[in-house]
Amino acid sequence: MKVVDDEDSFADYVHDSGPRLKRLAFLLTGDLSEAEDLLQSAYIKVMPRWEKVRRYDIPDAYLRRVMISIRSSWWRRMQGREKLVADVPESQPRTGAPDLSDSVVQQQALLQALRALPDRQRTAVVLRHWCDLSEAETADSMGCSLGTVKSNTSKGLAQLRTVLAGSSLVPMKGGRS
Amino acid sequence: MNDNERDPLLQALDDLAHSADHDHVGDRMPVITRGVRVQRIRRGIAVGAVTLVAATVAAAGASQLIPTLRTEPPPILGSATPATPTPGVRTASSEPTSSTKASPSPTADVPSGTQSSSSSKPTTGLQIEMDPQQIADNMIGLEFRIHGSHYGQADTEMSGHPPVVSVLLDGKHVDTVGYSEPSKLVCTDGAKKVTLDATFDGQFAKGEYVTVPGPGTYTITIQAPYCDKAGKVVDNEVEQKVTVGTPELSATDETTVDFGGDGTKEDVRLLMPKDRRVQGQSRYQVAEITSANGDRVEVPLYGEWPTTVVDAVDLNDDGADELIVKSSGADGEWWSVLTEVEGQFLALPTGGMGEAENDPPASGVRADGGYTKTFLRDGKLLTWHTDGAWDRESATEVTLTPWLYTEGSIGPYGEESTVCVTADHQTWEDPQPC
Repeated sequence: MKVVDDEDSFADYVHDSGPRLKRLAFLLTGDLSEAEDLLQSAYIKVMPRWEKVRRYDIPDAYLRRVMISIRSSWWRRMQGREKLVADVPESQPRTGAPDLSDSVVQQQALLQALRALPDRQRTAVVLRHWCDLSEAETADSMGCSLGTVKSNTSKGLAQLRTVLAGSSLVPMKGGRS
Repeated sequence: MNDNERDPLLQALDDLAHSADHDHVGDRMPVITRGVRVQRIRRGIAVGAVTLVAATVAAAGASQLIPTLRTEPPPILGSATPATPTPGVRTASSEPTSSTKASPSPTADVPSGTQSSSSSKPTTGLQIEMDPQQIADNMIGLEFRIHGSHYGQADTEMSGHPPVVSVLLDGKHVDTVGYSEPSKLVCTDGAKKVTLDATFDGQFAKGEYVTVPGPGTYTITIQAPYCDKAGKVVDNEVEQKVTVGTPELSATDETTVDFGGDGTKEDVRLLMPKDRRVQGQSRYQVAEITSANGDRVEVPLYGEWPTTVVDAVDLNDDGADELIVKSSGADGEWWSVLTEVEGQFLALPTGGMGEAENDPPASGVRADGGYTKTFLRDGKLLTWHTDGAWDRESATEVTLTPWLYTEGSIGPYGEESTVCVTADHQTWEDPQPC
């Protein structure tokens, strides 16, 4: 009975957490297929330990750490094959009337810029500013020091703003630095 | 833009994340369940391969395949260099090895002037009977009796005792009891005959047992020269071989751990010699790990005090647990991390952050006088240490260092922070400055 309870409980958790963790996985990977692979790999890792994880205050926090850990190991294995783009083309300044497809263009630009970031900078920016974790929580998730979190977040955001300068995402004047 | 408006970049990030909602996947559980099954099968193959290799090696020469006893202190961790682990290997069954009894033949008084051979032949008026026994994996208790008669000065202080008794281990002098050094036994003509019967208990002479490097066969020699009627020194000794083997073990603690992260748990028993006559310590400790399929390995542990379980935690968030254990005693605690890496079990020692000469404790007073404390918080391993002696009566600023565990190695990492400790507040949830 206990095993069945655990499986049902885990299935409920997967159903409930899937959408939000998929969004995180997408931001971490920049690719929907890879995001789904990452999420499923994390669930596979956690399911055998669900009896214990379900009692954590925030099971999502553990899933986050597992996803980042898996992502790091994938990145290390793919280093030799992955082609990193050093210079992302700047977005063209917006002119003329707003276009319905602008939001799509912006998203593509942001996605490109995000994918161009080094893995650690991308992870730090996503956890700090999208997941809204504290620096300490981010450090815990990434398995690094506070200093490393600060450094990666700062560099990552700066790079995004540089790449997206001139777009509505980073206004030329009056924007927050 | 006022402070209440969200940074457009961050809003766009949120919008981008939500674009993933359009990627409909359906029920993930069948894929996840299948993935867990595959993971278990793969791990079973990996562990089975290690077991097969170990069994093959065991068949070839099992008696030497005992875990290597630590003769040097474990490496000091205080830098980023991770410790070198000692892998657990399959052992032959560890039957207790009993030492043989001494069996010298007592002889009658030997005519004066006769010098006995100095090798394993009791030939004089003083008979030596010894009964060496293995006390621990590195100690021999030596009880022996010397009785008979010799010629010496009648001295109430000396009566009942042989003039000189020496103990040698593999030919090397261990200790001497007597009123003169062995080479300086002086006999005088016309001395009186003295009869004696003296028994020496296991803690010979200095109140200590005979210490040996570890399991093996050793030669114990007892020399008890005496004076004959003619006033000559008569050599007198017996020797006996003693085998110190793998001791009979008993469990100090046990638990179950999912080392592989596949939902099946291994049984773990922490073992040390059953007979620990010397302050409850032993340099021989192992973790016996038994898998669900019955395969068993033994992993040497660090620390000389009895080892107990701290907790099983996933230190590196890979879905598999590591087992943290500690060897606790009067002079501190020594923590180790037991883990499985590619089918092989390892014990990784942690150490304090001080500059002790050797074997710094994970918790306790270091050789430099400072204090170190190791603990678990939210599934993470942490250590704080003082720079000088710790005044427990007052709040003290200490340096807090987290530990990083990656597959097969552990070491201090990252940014240290300063926190405040008191005697009542040594491990905390919310670190504060003093």
